Amino acid sequence: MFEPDCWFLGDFCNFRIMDATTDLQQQLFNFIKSSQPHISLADELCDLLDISHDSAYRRIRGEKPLTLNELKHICERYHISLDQVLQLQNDAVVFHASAINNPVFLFSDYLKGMLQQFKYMNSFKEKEMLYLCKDIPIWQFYLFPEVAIFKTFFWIKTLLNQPEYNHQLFSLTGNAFDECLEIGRQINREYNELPCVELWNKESINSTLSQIQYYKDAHIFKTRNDLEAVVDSFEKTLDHLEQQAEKGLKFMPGGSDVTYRASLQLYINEVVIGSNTILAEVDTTKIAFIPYNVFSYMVTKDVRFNESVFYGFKNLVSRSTLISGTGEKERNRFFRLLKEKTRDLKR
Amino acid sequence: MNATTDLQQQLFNFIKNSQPHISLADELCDLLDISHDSAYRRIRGEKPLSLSELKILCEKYNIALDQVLQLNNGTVVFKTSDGSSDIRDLKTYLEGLLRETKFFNAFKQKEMLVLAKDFAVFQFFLVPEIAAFKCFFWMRHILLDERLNRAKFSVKSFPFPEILDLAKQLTKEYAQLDSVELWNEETVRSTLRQIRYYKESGLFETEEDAEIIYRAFDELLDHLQNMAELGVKSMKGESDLIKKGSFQLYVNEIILGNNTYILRLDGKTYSYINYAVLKYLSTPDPKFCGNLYNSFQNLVSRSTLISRVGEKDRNHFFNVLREEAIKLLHH
Repeated sequence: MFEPDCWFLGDFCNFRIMDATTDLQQQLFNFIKSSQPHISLADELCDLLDISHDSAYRRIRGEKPLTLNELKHICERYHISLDQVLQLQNDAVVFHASAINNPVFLFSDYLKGMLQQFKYMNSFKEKEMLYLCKDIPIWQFYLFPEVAIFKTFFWIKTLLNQPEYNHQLFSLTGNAFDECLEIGRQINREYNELPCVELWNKESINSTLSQIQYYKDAHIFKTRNDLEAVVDSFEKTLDHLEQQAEKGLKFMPGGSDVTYRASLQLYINEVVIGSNTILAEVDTTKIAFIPYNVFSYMVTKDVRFNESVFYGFKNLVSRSTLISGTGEKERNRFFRLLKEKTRDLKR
Repeated sequence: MNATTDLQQQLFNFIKNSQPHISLADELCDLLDISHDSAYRRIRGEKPLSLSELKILCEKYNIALDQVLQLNNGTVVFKTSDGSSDIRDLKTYLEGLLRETKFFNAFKQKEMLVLAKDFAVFQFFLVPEIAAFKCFFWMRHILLDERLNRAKFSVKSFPFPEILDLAKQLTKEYAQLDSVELWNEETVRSTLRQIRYYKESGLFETEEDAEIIYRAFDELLDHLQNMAELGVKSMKGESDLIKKGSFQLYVNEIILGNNTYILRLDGKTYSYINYAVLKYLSTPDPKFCGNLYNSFQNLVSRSTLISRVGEKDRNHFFNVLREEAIKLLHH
C-alpha cells in the first residue's frame, strides 16, 4: 500500500489530556472521536480488534481495560503516541515522521506527499504559511523544466544515493522525470493559493549554486549545453521570483491575471541563516514542519511548542527588511546579487 | 505464547532486564497497591494492565513505551532543550547545555557527529571576546533579554561574568568529546553577518570594540585551523597533557548544514535537531537516529577530509573563510 510520506498530515492531532479526572482509556477514545468525527468508533474497533460490538462498547466506556496488543493496534491505526497518551514527560513533543518507516522512497512519492499536504492546507478557509528559508523552497525548483530536472537528478543520485544512478552523467535528455515535473507544477499551483510570509537570506541559493559547481567540477554534466541550460533556467527562476516579489503576489510563469493569486510577503533576514522550517496556521490550528535529514520533515501540532516557534519567527521578521510590494532598491540589489552569482557558474 | 498477552510480558521482561536487582512482584504490589497474586497475574499477562497502571510503571521505570512496544505509528517523541518552560534566559540555557555535555562525557565511547550550519556554541567560546559577543547577540536579539534593551556591546564591560564562566566550562567539556564535523564555506557566514549588523546599526559601544571582535574572529579561525591540522581538540592556555578528543573535519559542498548533532555514546545513539535558532529537540528513537546516521555517512563519503591530512585543501578552505571575513567586515 502506498504509505504517504512525511509530508502528509491528514487528520492527525496531538493527543492532549482534556480532563484530569476522567479515566485515561475514556480520554483516549474521546480524543479519537474528536479527531475523527466522521467515523463510527465502535464499528472500527470491531474490525480492528476483531471483537463484538458489545465488547467494543465496553472498552469505549472504560469498563474493560484494553490489552497492550489492542493499544498497539489502536495507536498505529490512528497515529497516536502512547507516550503522549500517558503524558509521561511534560517536556516531550510528539512529531509525526512517517518517512522513518520507509527510508528508501521514490522521489515522486515524496512530491505526492507534499502535494497532498498543500491541498490539505488549502482546504481551510483561513490559512497562512511562514517559511524560514535556508534554501529556496523545494517546489520552486519546479517552475522551469531544466532546473527541475537538475535538482531532481541531484537529489536522487547524490542525496538519496540511489544505486542505479551511480555512474550516470547528467543530461537534459533521456531522463524519466516527467511525473515529478508534473507533480512539481501542481504543487506550485497549490502553493500559489496559500498566502505566505517568507524570510530569505543571501545564502538561500548557495546550496543550488554549489551543487551545480560540484557537478561541473566532477564532470557530471554530459555536455556544456546541459550546464548552460540549467544555469539559464535557474536565472529565469530568479527573474520570476523577483517579479512575484515586486507584485507581492504568487503566480505561475506566464499565468493569466484572472486566476486567484495569494499574497507573498518576502523579507530579507540578515541576522541568522534560516533552517527551512515551515509554519502554518490553518483556521485556528498551528502546525510546525521541522526539517531533518536533508529534505524530510517532521510535523507537530503541539500547542506549546508551536507557540514558541511562531514567536521566534515573528522576532526574526521584526529584524528583517520587507522587499515585496515595496523596498524596490533593496529588492533590486538582492536579486541582482543572486543573479550575478548564478551567471558566474558559466564562466 | 498467547498473542493477546505477549506484549505485556515483553514489557515486564524489559523491566526485569533493565532492573535485574529488584523483585518485580514486590514492587508491583507497592506501586499499584495490589496483592501478590494480582501482581503475578499481571506479570504472566493473564490480567491486562489498565492505562493508569501503565502510566505508573512507565514513570517509575522511565520507559518510553512507543519504543519498547515498537509502535509503528510514524511518530517520534522528542524532548525539548528548554524542558517544560520556554527559556528566555541564556544562563539557564547554557546550564542545561553543560549538564547535557557532562552527561555525554560520562560515557567511555563518546562521539559527536555535526552537520554544521554555524560553528558550534562550544567553538565560539574558544575565544573569550567572541564568546561575549555571541552571548550578547543571543540574549539581546534572539532571547530578547530585557536587561539588554537598547544596550550596546562592549568587550570590556560585558555585564555577565557568570555566563563567560559557563562558556569556559563548556569548551572544556567539548574538548573531551571526539567529533566528526561537516562544514562548508557558509559556516562562518551568520556570525560575520551579525558582526556587520552590529557595525552598521551602531551597536558596538566604540570603534575599538569592533576592531577587537574582528581580531578575535581571526584568532578563532587560526585556533580552529590548528585543531584541524593536528586532528585533536585544544583550548587556549590549557596544557597538552590533558587528554583531548579527536577532531575530524570535512568540507561538504553539497548542502548547507542544519546544525544537526548525532551523539554516539557506548553504542547508544541520540539525535539533536536544531530549531528556532538556539533550541534543540532530542530523541534516542533508534529508527530516527539510524536514518540520520546513514544520511550523515552519505554526506561524509561525498566530502573532503581536511583534518590531519589534506593540507592544501585545508589551507584553501580556511583562506576562503578569511577572505569572507575581510569581505564582510572591511567593506
